[in-house]
Amino acid sequence: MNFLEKKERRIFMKEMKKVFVIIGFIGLWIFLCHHMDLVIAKDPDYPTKPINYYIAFGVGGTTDLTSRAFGDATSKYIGQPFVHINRPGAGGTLTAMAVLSGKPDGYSLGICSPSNVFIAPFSDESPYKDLSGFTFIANFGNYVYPLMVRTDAPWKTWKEFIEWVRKNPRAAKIAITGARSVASQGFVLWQVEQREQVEFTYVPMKSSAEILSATLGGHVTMYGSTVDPSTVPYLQEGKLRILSYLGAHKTPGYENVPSLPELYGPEVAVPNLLGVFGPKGLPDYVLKKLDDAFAKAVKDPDFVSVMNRMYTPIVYMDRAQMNKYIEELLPKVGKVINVIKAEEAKGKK
Amino acid sequence: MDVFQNLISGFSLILQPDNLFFCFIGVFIGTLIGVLPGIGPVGAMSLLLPATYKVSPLASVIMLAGIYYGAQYGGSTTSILVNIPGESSTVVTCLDGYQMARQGRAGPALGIAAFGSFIAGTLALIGLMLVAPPLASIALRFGPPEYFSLMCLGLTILIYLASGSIIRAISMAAFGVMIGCIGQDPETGSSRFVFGIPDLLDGIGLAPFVMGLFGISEVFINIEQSLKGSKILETKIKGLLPNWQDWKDSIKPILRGSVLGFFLGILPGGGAVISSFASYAIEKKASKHPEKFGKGAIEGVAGPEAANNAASEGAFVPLLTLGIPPNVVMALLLGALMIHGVTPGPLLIPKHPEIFWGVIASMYLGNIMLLVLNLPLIGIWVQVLKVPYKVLFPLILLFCLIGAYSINNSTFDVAIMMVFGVVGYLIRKYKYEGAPMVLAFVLGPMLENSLRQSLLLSDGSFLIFFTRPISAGGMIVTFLMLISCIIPAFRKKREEIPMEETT
Amino acid sequence: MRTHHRVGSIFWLVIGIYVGISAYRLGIGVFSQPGPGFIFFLMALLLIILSAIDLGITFIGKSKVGKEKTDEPLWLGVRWYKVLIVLVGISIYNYAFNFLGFLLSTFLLMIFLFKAVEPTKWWVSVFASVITILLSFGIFKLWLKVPFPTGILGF
Repeated sequence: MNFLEKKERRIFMKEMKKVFVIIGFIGLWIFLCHHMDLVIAKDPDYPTKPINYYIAFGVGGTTDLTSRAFGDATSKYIGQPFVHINRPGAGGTLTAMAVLSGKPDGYSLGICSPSNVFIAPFSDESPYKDLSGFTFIANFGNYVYPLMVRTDAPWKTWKEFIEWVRKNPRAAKIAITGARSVASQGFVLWQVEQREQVEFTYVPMKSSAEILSATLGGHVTMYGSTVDPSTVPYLQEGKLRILSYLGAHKTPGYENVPSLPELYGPEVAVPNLLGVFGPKGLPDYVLKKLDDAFAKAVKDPDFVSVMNRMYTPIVYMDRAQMNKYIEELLPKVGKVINVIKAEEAKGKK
Repeated sequence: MDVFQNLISGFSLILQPDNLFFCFIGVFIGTLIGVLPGIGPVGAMSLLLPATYKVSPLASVIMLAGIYYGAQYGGSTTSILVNIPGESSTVVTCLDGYQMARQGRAGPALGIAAFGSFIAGTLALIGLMLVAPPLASIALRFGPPEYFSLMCLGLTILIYLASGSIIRAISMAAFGVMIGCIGQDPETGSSRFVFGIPDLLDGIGLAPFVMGLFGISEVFINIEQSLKGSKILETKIKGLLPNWQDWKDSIKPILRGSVLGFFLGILPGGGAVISSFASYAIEKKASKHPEKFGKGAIEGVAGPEAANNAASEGAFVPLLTLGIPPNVVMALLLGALMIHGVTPGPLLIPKHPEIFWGVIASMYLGNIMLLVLNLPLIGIWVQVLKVPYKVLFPLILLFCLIGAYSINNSTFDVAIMMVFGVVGYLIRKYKYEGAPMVLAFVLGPMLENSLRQSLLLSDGSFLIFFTRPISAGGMIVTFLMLISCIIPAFRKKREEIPMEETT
Repeated sequence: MRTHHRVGSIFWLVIGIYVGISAYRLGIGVFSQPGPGFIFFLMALLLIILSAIDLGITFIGKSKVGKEKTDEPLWLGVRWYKVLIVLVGISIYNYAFNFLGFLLSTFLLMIFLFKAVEPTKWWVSVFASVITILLSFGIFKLWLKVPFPTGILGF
């Protein structure tokens, strides 16, 4: 086989040499810049450029739109735009990773939710096992999880439903977003199974839209996801009925339906969270500005109207409250998840 | 007739200056986004979403919708000119469109793509107007078992996609399914073939995969040869528009593609990608010269292009009538409507008829605008083919790199694109094909999901696929199609074996 | 050509075996409840069977002496090393993208691509690179608002 001809080889070597020279210059420049860094004093003015804002879920969804609204509202008060970057995936852990690896200079923030804060640290696949790498800054909302069935179904209350499930084990097909062991809905419903000594069948699906059509079409028994704006017309028209809620928050107009925490106790609830976090080590002057801007953004009329339109309750927690909340709730959630995992491991064998 | 009255009122709305303006902006941006590989309508729509807050709901939807179906028009441009799919739904257009360009027939290819899209768009609109609500309720009857049989049917299409050895095509498909299923298992949450890389937990993105497999590999293949004075165009340019013969060949594919695309677009998860593949396969089967496919058959451009446009409009059916978005783009549109205080759903048409009919009227107008926009551009696009390749290919590479990055602002997607660029390059050198891999990549995970969901619903019984009418129907058709291909294929294989030996 | 045919088949055969074993370890489950590895195992089986057949064909088919046109060379006489160079170039680009920022890394890449594959004069390369980065910056960053990283040099 004719390898490189002499002339070709010469050209090749020349090109490679040029590449190395260029790389060498860049290396030198970088080296100099790095050392410049130590000399110049830290810039205490924040923010002076746009802030990267990683959104943990896909474009157009409830989380995305409400997070964007919050980001836009905050930019009004902090003086720099929030650059919305969707980094969906792996239950929000891709956003968490982006935040973890960002510089703690306040220009790299992300959205935190039940899945990347409470569920991820206990999951085998997760890249982080504790939350020490994060700074939790503010919470702005909470999710509502109505458990809905078609109105032509025989059960009018949660109790009736449970009785039916007891007599028909595994006949209830509850559609949730994600696998039981990784989804926050699974976490709650498993506890119900334990307390009531019943067995559900979980049908994981990719999105609430899929779950909604499956429920309406009668393919699954129950809708077990967040309140999607699409679901509201069906509720209002009487095609769907809410049997209970996976958390403390209820859909406006349907408050008379008991939620699972009301029925079983406060631990049987989704560890609700929808807020902003950043990497650890954020300097005080950054945090102060953010705290301030977030507190104002939560009351901003544009933000409020978006939250209302998306049927997402506004729940504000400042840094102290948020940290306390997470610190208290995390170990409780961890305990339950570890029990679930142990059970599944036993079941596998 | 009620429909016409409503339509006329819709037109009167759309002809107002600001609605017209937003319609134009939408389709214009859509075309551009479609041409640029990687960045898709979703990206552009989400960027423009805040700009729509201060505008009326109708104008916002008109603009966002325009971006979506406009992108289907523009996506075929790079597919035809440089074998890089501008949109995932235009992968199939690369197969014959690019060959046509090399033969000097880029003009007719681009032209028939534009016209085909226009005709399909108009026909799909008629469907949307007349039969949307009843169709939507049929769509609801598609549960996991129905999807499973549909996917099985879809995979038999594979057999038609292959222009070379069937064994190799199916091997590519098997691999495609594997690649498509990489990531977190939806049922158990365990990670499959993730190799410890968190970015892989959500699987490999369709856009970087396709851009690498087709686009980057094409550049690699080309730079192997000396580029002195070489251009994409191998011969002279033969005409800028489709000629009479082209029209005669294309009209049936366009009509078939429109119908196929419209119905497939209604189904959640169906969509433009699958309908373009299905249309290609159908045209190949229906053609009297199937061996011309893959070498520049205009039917292979006309059909799929019509199908992907019809599908993008079909996607509006479940959104506007049920309030359920069948794909990510529609979900965004749903969000936009919600923010404006309009709740789509079964009550949209009674409560906000101006939205429904205004959007439909805008789509008629939008399609006309797109045709007018795209046709003159053909003359310009064709000049690209004359640019010396040694100047062209860095630009192509750059646009692919930026395009892949801009999907999720992640260099990981770029890396994926490069990996599959190498894969595509090696595959082509060793005489395997990429198209079956792409189809399998899309269908495979859906097949698996629907299988497992169905088994969960039936508590493990396989009967569920045969006891439900739609699903049973689908399985029977699949079976018949398989039989009808395998028997002649067996006979062909006996002849093919000695033939392959000598290639 | 037969060798190339065989190399291809053997490659996919190996892939099939690897995936099959890994899939088995993931857990195939039973027919009524497929596990995570199920679909991979199925596809791996398919791949193995097909590659084996493909490989077998290269041994069985009658070799028609003289009919063999010149063994179309896959790696002979084509500048595959150019592909490698470009691949290395864009890999470095991707790696350095966040670090150097969009403008600088793209500029370097463009010059590299223009020069490395086909001899192009220096001034042409620099000129074309500058135009390219201005255009792409305009389209993608300013107009489409894609957030490009600004490298450590601040731009």
